[in-house]
Amino acid sequence: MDYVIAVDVGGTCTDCVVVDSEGRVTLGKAFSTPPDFSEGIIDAMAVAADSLGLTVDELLEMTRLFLPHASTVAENAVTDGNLARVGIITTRGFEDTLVATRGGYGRWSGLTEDEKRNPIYTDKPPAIVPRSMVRGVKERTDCRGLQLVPVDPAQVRRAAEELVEARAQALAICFLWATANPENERAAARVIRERWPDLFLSVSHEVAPVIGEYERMSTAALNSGLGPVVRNYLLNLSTRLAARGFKGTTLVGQGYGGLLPLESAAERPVGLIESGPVAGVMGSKWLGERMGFSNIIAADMGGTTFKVGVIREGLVEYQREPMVYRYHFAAPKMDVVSLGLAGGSIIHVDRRTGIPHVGPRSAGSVPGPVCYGRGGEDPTVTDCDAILGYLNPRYFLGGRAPLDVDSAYRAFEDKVARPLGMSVTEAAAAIYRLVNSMIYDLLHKVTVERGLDPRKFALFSFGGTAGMHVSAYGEALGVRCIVVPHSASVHGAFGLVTSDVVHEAMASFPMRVPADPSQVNEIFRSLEEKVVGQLLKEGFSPEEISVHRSVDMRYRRQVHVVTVPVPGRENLGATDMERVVDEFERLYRTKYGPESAFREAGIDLVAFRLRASGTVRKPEIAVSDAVGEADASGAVVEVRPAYVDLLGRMETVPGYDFELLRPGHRVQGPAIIWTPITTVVISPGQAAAVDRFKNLVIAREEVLLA
Amino acid sequence: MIKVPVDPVTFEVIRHRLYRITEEAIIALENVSGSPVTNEGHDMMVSLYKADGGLMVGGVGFLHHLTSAAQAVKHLIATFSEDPGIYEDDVFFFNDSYTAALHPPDVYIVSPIHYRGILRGFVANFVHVTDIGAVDPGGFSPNARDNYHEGFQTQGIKIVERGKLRRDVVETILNNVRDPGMTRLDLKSQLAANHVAKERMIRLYDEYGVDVVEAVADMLIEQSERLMRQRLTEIPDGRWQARQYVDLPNGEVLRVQATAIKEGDTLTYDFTGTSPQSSFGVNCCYWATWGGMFAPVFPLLAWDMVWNEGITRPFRLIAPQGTVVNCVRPAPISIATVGVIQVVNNLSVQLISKMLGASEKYWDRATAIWHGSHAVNQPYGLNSRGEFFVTLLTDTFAGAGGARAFKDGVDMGGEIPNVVSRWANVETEELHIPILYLYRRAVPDSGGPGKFRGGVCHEYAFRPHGLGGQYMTNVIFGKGVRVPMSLGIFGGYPGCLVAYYVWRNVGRDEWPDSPETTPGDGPQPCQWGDVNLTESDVFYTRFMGGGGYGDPIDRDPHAVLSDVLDGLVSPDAAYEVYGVCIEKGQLDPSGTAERRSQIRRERLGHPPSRPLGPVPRTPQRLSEYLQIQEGRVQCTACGFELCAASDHWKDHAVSRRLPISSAGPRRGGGEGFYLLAHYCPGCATQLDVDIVFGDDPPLYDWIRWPS
Repeated sequence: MDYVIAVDVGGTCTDCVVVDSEGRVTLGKAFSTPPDFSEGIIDAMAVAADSLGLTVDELLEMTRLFLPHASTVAENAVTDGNLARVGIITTRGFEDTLVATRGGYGRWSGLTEDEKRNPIYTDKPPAIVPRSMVRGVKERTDCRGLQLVPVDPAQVRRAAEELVEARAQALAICFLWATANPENERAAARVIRERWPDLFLSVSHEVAPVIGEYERMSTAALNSGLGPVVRNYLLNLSTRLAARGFKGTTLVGQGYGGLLPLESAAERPVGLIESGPVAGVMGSKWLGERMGFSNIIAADMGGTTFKVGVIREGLVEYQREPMVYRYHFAAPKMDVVSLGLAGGSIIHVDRRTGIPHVGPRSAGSVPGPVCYGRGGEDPTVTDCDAILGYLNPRYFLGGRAPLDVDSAYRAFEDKVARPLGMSVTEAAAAIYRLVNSMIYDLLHKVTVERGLDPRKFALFSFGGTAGMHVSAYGEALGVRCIVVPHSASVHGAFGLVTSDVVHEAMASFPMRVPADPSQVNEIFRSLEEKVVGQLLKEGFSPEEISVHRSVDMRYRRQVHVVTVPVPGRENLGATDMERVVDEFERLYRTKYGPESAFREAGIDLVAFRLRASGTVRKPEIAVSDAVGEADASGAVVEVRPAYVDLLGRMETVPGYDFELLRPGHRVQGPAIIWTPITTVVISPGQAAAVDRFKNLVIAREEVLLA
Repeated sequence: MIKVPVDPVTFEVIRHRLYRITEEAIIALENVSGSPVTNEGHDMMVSLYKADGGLMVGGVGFLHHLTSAAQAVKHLIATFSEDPGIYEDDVFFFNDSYTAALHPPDVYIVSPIHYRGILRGFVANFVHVTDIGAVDPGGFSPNARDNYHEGFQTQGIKIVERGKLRRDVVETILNNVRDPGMTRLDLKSQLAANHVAKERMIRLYDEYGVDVVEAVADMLIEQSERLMRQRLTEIPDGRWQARQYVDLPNGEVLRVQATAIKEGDTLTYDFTGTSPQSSFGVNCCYWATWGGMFAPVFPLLAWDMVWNEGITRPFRLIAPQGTVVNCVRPAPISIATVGVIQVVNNLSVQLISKMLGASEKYWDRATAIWHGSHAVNQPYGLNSRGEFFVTLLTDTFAGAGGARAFKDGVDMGGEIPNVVSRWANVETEELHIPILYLYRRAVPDSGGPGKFRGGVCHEYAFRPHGLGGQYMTNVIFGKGVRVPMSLGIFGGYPGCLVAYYVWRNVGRDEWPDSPETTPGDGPQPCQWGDVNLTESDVFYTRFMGGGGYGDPIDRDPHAVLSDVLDGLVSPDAAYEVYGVCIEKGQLDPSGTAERRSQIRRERLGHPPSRPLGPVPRTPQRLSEYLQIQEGRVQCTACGFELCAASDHWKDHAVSRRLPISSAGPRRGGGEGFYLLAHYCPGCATQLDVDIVFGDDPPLYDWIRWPS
């Protein structure tokens, strides 16, 4: 027997999934232990090991692959300002690129619409690297890659010496047009690596091969700021695991949805940002493939944020203008959109207007909602849900925490209902609808506004607060069905177990259509050599390696870039290139509308991408073949009054214990289902079916029957 | 007026949805438009209007357009309802400034929204189109002598009629412009934005009913009006003066003079005293002044309200005809947005801030002027493939924040009339047009000195690289090269001056990284018209830092030290202007104290008679350093009483005329312009600084706190 262990470290909890060689899954959960997260990781593994009748050491000894992500470590370092002290070497004359943040962009980006409208109270976040830690050196390349001024190694050495003297713990190099011709950056990097071989160094064309010096420099700076922090964390973690008998391989989750060996991950820590939520989306994708869904909206609504990722035809889009905290970076990252709306969001009524607002302030997990009884005084979305009769103390947080609905009721009455001039139930029902409509607006934004039809999508719902709202906004959005996965509580860790090792390489190289195929082939060949070589070095056999090529293209004089897949691995000819151009035009029209194309100006190839995957053996999720009868009445544990939105009143509804439900069971709405991690509300006219994987699938009754 | 009752939650849901609709339309606009000016500079706007043309919900973007497009819609309704009629799925093209718009290249595309056959509202948007067929390519036409040189202009023409694109009209428009391909794409993007907004509005009517949506729109307008009136009543009544000068390229100086009159819940801007209209295209028409006045009102007075017609109702505008704030055709107006409209923006910021500074509740929201002057470069020519290009360099959208009552201005931090502006990367600019940037960096001492420092601006230089001809032409139309426009407030100094320089015969193997290290023939200052550039010329542009807040010698010396270490303030200015001595990177406290008392002595001509010390704040503020104490104007730094509350305190202060360069480097050069500084006779605290031309009088405030 051998094991694969995946670990998802979240802000509150650390989840662990253990898969044995027969595909059986064991779960473990423990509290996260910042700043040394390895503590919580061991704790979560201990819970899983215990279920397997093993000690942690025994489990680790039999573990082949260990799959963590370091999303939380990286993001905390950024938000808490615990980055390493970085020095930047850049093209002389452009030392202020980072602090300038493209003008006001750094001041307003990452803010809510309301915040943007209030500029007096907006500021740039502190620069990742202050002005005093930036040095310019004379060098220049133009947009066609022509080297106009070669870099002088002596100047680079002097600049680096000054920065090291000024206590730089890591360095970054970013030269103009290094993406079109990296010669000068390479020469500068050589100087530094020779003289300071142990100093963490980020080179812009390596970490962010994109056009646009601000985003590239910001990425290189963040990468260097994170470098020492993340390296320490990962090394410490692997030392601890090794000490407890682990002899396998560690692969670290990436923001673009793959895994990287520990050493490579430590070199490119900026790639870890948001890898946790992305792993969740990847888990949805994998589960969706098993269930027969290729179009999925994966929504996670927990205590502080609502996060959503969209999978279209089995693909997840890259995020435009990604940010961490309020810093821009340009590493490829799957698109996950966040909204500060979740269980802890505080509800208040504007005294001047009498209009209610939800968020953006959050009670977080401390003090938390009023009903948690931990000192929270401001009514939250969770309190509203409690008042509406959805939460059950026996199941709330696994029955381990008390639930004080009376206090929630009083706080809600004082601060929301009375100012609104409504009864408490009326007001709670109204807020419930308001929350659902705000989520609807966000989901509308990530689907309809991107040209996606929600009717073709399944909505996967994760997180503690999600289940009480999903049937309402899912219905309004008109999705095919709603899925509350059985693995919902650990879907992040689950996503890691289902990922492959992925290396991505990219080269920015503007050229015009018709492009010379031999030049294109040469670029792809060198990219392939780099990443496939890497996988071979990591021990993958050629059969385990697959390659995906693509080109970033745009209409000339325009700014929108579309990534166009280039099928196959063979050399391209002139007709292949024409096919790529046709595909570009098709994708452009799909994405930006039929009116958007402007052929007359011509078409440019901007950048070339190559993604190589080394297949990791996947768990086979054990499924139940025994799909039983529909009658779920045996799982009803309580009948209680709860608010039924469609009827607009409190009704007596049956409550089910999820643990008592079996594949095949069907629950008619209105109903409530309590699971160990969430509460699922089923609306009238909807039904929930338990599928072979023990997922809850919710849809209109007639859809479910068909 | 409101026909159906709406519960507060439905109200909030619909409000949220209306915002989303404007945002979604902006996304559609950006998606289709490939233009860097639209996408990178965010020079655009989409808003929803009611069936009578009243602003229903304003989106973000250039805010002077919110009200001007409302006027365009009202004009279309008044003029065309009967003939040719406003029908379902019509779309109008509108860009006439003498009726409503701001300048010819800012094209409004206006679509009526019908629901079940009845006109229910409008959606309008603008972008700065690539070309509009004026005497100069690109839309800004410094070479125009009158409005008839400024390109294609219409008071409204249907480009889509009942859902069908009018090819004859579109081709006629495009036949008038130099870059029909890009201009066509601009129009397409505008059509796409309106289409999306219209579709979403119809769905909203489907979902909630027309009556409910219209009731919410009316409630929102009434709510904003009520909140704005309430806010105005929270500010004391009074009159505040502000003034800016426009330095024309022929040496003439224009005055733009504004008085804000706040009475109860109303506010009037009176521009009496403003110069007659000019032969240069900096003029602005009446509705442009109206828009220029409101652009700062939205973010500075209405930050927490819905931006709609309700905000505008308590306001009045007096703009005498035939002046630069209400010019008469054929005065040229193509430079207006970076000319007098921007001046009106600045004055509005200053007047609002002076008012807020007198408010006990809102004093923290007073700000010095941000980004006092644009400095646009509008280059055109042929690239190495012989293709025509024309564009605006997006550097002008960088901006610099004015200092605030509690904090420094944001360095290179944007501007007030467009809260989401930004510049494009050097690499993006170089990819689009044949130039090479030589440097792009912060300018030390550019931020206005003050207790809180104005944000620094940037400077940059480029040279042509890879031209298709002998030279390219850079079209410029600068202001603020002789007189600062990022004025400080409550004793703060102005930011630096704009500068345009050209160096000839620099040599292509030279790589200067500052104006000081640039070889060749120069710097030759320039301001206006065509500058032809070959590949061995270097063209330089500097912007204006934000204005300062409060007396510079009231600034925390540690903040000055940190600015010096960061290179944002020079050691000289630290000593001269801030009175801070820094020795080998360390603060010299006794030297600083000595220098600061020396400055106070110089201000009064004798040592101050009163020590600085805590003075209890009364609820009757006048400004940062002044308040009413038992019917007398009192300095809050030392307690000195200047005069009776009914007197002009400036007549009782010690006032000095100083060269503008006393506010720091890069402020020299304007003959006839002075700083008029007013000091407390007791402690010499700098209470206020006016900028005056010649013998112009100081600016007076009359604040009527109830006695």
